[in-house]
Amino acid sequence: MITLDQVSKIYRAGGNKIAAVDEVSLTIPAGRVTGIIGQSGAGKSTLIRMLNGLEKPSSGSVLVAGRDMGRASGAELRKARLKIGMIFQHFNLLWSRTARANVAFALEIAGIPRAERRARVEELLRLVGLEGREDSYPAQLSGGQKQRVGIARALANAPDLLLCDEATSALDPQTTDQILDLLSEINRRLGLTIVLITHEMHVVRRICDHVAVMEAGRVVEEGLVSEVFAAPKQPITRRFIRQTSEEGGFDPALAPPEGALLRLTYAGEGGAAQDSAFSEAVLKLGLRANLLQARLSQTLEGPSGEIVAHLPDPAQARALAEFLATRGIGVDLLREG
Amino acid sequence: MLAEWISAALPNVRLAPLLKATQDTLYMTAMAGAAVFVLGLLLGTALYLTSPGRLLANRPLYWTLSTLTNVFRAIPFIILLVLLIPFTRAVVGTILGVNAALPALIFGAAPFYARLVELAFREVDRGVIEATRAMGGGIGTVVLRVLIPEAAPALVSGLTVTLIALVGYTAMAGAIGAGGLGHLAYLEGFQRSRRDVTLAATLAVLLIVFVIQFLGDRLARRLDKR
Repeated sequence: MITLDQVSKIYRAGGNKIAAVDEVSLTIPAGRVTGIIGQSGAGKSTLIRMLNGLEKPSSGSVLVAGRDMGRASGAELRKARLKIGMIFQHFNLLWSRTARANVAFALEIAGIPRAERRARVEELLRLVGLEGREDSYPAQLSGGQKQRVGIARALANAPDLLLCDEATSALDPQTTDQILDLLSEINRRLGLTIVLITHEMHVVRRICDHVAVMEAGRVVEEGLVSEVFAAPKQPITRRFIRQTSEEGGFDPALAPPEGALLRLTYAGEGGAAQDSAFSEAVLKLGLRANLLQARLSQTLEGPSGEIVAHLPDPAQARALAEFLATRGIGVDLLREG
Repeated sequence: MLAEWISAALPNVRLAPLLKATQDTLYMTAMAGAAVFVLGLLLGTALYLTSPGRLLANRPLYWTLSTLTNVFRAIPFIILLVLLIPFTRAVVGTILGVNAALPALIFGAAPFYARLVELAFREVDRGVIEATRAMGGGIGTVVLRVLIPEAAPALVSGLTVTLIALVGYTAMAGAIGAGGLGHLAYLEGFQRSRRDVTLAATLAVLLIVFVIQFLGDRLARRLDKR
């Protein structure tokens, strides 16, 4: 569906060259939800804008549905964009238009006749759950409702691809989950490809099949969410995984001052059952281990679990880590003891 | 009773010339205002689009338009009136009367309104323009369906300010032969030492200005859905 080959975007600031995107090669599968995660300034915003030609690559090629977005003419690009929806962190609705008229705007651009527009707008607003608010202006809608209008507008011309630019970053946690679930549902029902960028691991965990981790303009790690999470290779990825844990409230300062601290993560099919591996290890290796925290969270592939354990004996901690690694459980040594 | 009181307070004021002068001022303000709206919108749009970082960013073109705008804005109106006499004679055929005032009024006010249009467009959220482009919208869509409607309240407020400035300009034009309330106040009132005529003309100008301000504010508020 989408293939990026050696894509770079160089900005010149004064005499310096800054690579916002640095030699990125990536394949994004059709019909799936792919997350690109990175901190601000990692280049993910520039990268996603190259997928609809809002930014042109300095070198390399960006192929979307067989079209080279970096070399397409203005008219070609405008035509291609009708089939690529985009939603934004700050919604970017026209405040001078009602919800209905905002959605209709996308259809006006596509040249759809008025009569057809009407019916289609109703259908779209129903799809995103905005019945009854059709005639409200954006200023009268909550953040979540505004994003629903944004989603309806992005879906107006039945796109094959939906780009989400930090779509939930301006929303509260509960609204974030509602919008994420809506996106997930749209992905399943309409079978369209979704590419989202975010700095929040929670977003990736909840709705993404694939993830690419960006740092300083490069994609440093990518793959299935379950695999990348079970065995993160890069420090930045581990930092992001820790981020979701911190949202759960584990504070190392509350742990006993001596001994090792381990974080175990297990996800994917049958993930919930794998925590038996922990008790198995404790019994088999005769360990002394304290459970400090354990929790399950919802991901696309079912529940994913996390245990934070304290082992007074660092040698036992290493033995436990080795044993669990053979069971496909992610082990993160928070403190060596 | 009221009529008696007025004729006692303003002994030299005759209703017919006052109404005629008011009508002339309104005519000049409206005709020039319509032309200023169209020209200012076009010039303001060009200024906005060619300015650095915008859709049609073009440094030399922006610099040229910007300099021209500044030059016309910098010339004091009373001097512009005189400078444009040859142009006015060529285009209108005379340098007297309400129509002869129009070229100077338009050249004086259009650059002013153009700057206000540029400013109004700059206030439009860049994100909305990006969203429009992401939906496949071209420059025409951005200008006609995003910039103008989204900036509408500011465009109206700017036009209100411009129309009020135009009323002031017509008074200056009136003093050198265009007619209207400026003519009445200066030539019929001041130069003939009829203070009451000057006062009546001033009151008529104030009334016009207040009505324009009131209507402009109301329209701007109605258009604002933020």
